[in-house]
Amino acid sequence: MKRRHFLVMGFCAAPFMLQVMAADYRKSNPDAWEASSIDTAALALYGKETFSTLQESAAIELVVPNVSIVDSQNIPIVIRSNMQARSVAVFQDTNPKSLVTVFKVGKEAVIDYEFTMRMDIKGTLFVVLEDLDGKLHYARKYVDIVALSCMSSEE
Amino acid sequence: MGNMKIKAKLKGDVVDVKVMAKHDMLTYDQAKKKGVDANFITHISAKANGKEVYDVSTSQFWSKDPQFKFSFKGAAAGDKVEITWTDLSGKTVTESKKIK
Repeated sequence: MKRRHFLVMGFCAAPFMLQVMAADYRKSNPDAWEASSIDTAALALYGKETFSTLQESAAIELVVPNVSIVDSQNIPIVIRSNMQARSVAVFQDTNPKSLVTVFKVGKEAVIDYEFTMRMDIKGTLFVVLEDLDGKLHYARKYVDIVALSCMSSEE
Repeated sequence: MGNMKIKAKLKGDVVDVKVMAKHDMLTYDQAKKKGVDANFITHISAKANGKEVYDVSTSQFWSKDPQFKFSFKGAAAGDKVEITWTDLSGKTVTESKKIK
């Protein structure tokens, strides 16, 4: 009987591994951007196993305006942490879709991010940090937005 | 050119970068009312000395003409930081600034 010979195909995977280096989370996790609840978006982004490690952390500093915001189209957000991380994501519970943004944290990066965002109505902002062990940590803040239609009745 | 205002300053061993990108950031709701397609920045990245120092996937919930700030290590005064954004329509803009 003749013996069968099997080809080793592992080397064929190398070009595909290189593509993983560039992280566009909109392309790699499209479902996360369509989800309208935070849980669904986070599950789509991280997967069930990683999502189960989620715990609140004082090591993440999330700064949002303390006062009621009039300009809901330009809300300044600051995120800082000294933790080593793979990614930092921002979710909110008021806009039609929950996922706002995902930062990929590289070796040279410092977790000190600022950006401006919009929210339709007042709600809660969640920042989720994925550490190098694949565990999730979060901080949250309530963002209060003034409903301009009610202001004219005051005097 | 002139689509982004970039400031990059070295403080100690950390470079602080402030950017204002000119873009309408038209949400799906706003686009529907106007009868046009939604269009907003979906990805922003920055490189310095050939290394990726900032990478963020964004959404319609970033503000119009978004302003953002980030910091990184591993660069010196005189080096360049190069910032690229891509929007939903596929348009890509790249601009750079020398670190002060």
